[in-house]
Order: sequence, then C-alpha cells, then structure tokens
Amino acid sequence: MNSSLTYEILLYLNSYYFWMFSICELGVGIFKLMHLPYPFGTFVTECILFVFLCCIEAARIFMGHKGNLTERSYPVMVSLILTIPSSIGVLYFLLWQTYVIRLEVVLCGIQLTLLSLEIIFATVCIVSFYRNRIY
Amino acid sequence: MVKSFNNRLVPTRFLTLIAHFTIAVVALWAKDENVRASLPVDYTPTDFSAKSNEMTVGLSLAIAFIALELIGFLSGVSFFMSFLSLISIAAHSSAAVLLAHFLFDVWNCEVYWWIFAFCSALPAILEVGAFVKLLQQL
Repeated sequence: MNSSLTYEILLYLNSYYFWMFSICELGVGIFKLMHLPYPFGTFVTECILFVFLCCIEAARIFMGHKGNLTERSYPVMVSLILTIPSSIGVLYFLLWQTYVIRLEVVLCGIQLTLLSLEIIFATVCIVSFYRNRIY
Repeated sequence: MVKSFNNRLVPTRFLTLIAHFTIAVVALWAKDENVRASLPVDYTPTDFSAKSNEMTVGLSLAIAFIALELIGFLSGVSFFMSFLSLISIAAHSSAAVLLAHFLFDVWNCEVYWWIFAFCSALPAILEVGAFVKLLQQL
C-alpha cells in the first residue's frame, strides 16, 4: 500500500478546517461592513475572490483524496498545482486585503501551515507512487 | 454506530483545539487590557511587567499544551479514544468561549488560571496518560 495515512488525515481535517475558516471569514466580513468604512465595491470584489478560493480549495482537497486513495499520481499532482493559487488566495487575505484583523492573521497562518504540510506529504506520496511504478 | 460516532468526534476535537489555539494567540497578542484590569489604580511599571510576564507564561503554556495534544491526537495516540476525545472537546470548547469572554469583558488575570487549570491542563494531563498507557502496551 502506497497511500499516505498522514496525507489523508491532513486532507480530511483541512476540509473541515476550511469550512470553519470560511464561516469565520463571512462573520468577519459582515463585522467589517458594519463597523468600518468599507467601500461596497471592494467588499463585493473580496467576496467573489473568497468564493473562488472556496472552489479551488474544494477541488484541491477532492483531487488529493482521489489520488491518494486510488494510488494515482496524476490527481495528486493536480492537487499540488492547485495549492499555488490556493496559497496565493490565503496570502491575499493575510496581507493584501483592505482590513486585516488579528483573528484573520491567526486563521490564515493555520491554513498556510496546513497547506505547507500537505505539500510535503503530497510530494512524498508522488515519489512513493512513482517508485512503485504506478502511473 | 461506533464508526459514525468516531467520524464526528475526530473533526470536532480538531476544530475545538484549533479554536482554543486561535483565541489563545489573540489573547496573547492583546493581553495589555487584561493586565491593566488586574492591577490597582496606582500601579508601577514593575507591577505591570510582572503581571504581563505572568500572563505571557500562562498563555504560552496553554499554547504548548495544545501543541502537545495536537501531536498526540494527529500521531494516533488518542485518535480513537472516544472518552478522552469527549473530555477534550468539552474542555477546549468551554475554554474558547471563556477566553472570548475574558477578552471582551476584560476579566481579571487571576480568573485566567482557573480557565487554564480546568480547560488546558486537565486534557493535557489526560493526553500524557494516554501516552503512558501506549508505552505500557509496547
């Protein structure tokens, strides 16, 4: 068996974590809209960006699961490539959005840590699939 | 039944641990208000730094205990122990709620140690117990 248990656990927990993260982001967005001078256009832009981030993240976790469970390296590679836009999206919410509050810094930091751990274990997974000649 | 029960416990435990971690880091970041709340009106800078250090130590210990528990949990030591998971879920969810109140209502620093004892130290001791139990079985 070449599937990585740690990678599977990380993906499983990350899927739950990301839903909590998105609900927190939604609450924080409503808070900012109510209490801070927040141009409505910018708010809509950031909402659309967050919806895209959710889609990318769902696709990334699904592909990672699929590749890891069927021992195919192609879906894991797709998941690894999708990590790049996903991490840029999280970095946007960590650094470049209009207002960054402390809660968001901590939550984005945890998400980035999970992403980097998944990069490591996805690479380990791909290497073990290739070494055992399963394409 | 057991399988679906465990399926619910594992993500719940992870999310409550993460929630406690998040609120502890935010409290560590914004502890000055709470430190001022637990000092008399005519405090000196020495008093302030002493209290501030006390809070830093307490919150850092809480974060370290959460890290210990996450290591034990993710490495599989207490992954399938449902009783320990339930205690951990109860302790960490109440810790998250209490620490949120601690920040919002600017509670006294002495109260924090009670939160720490029951909501951080207790599950951490149980986790160490799980480690010991595992080592005995080896």
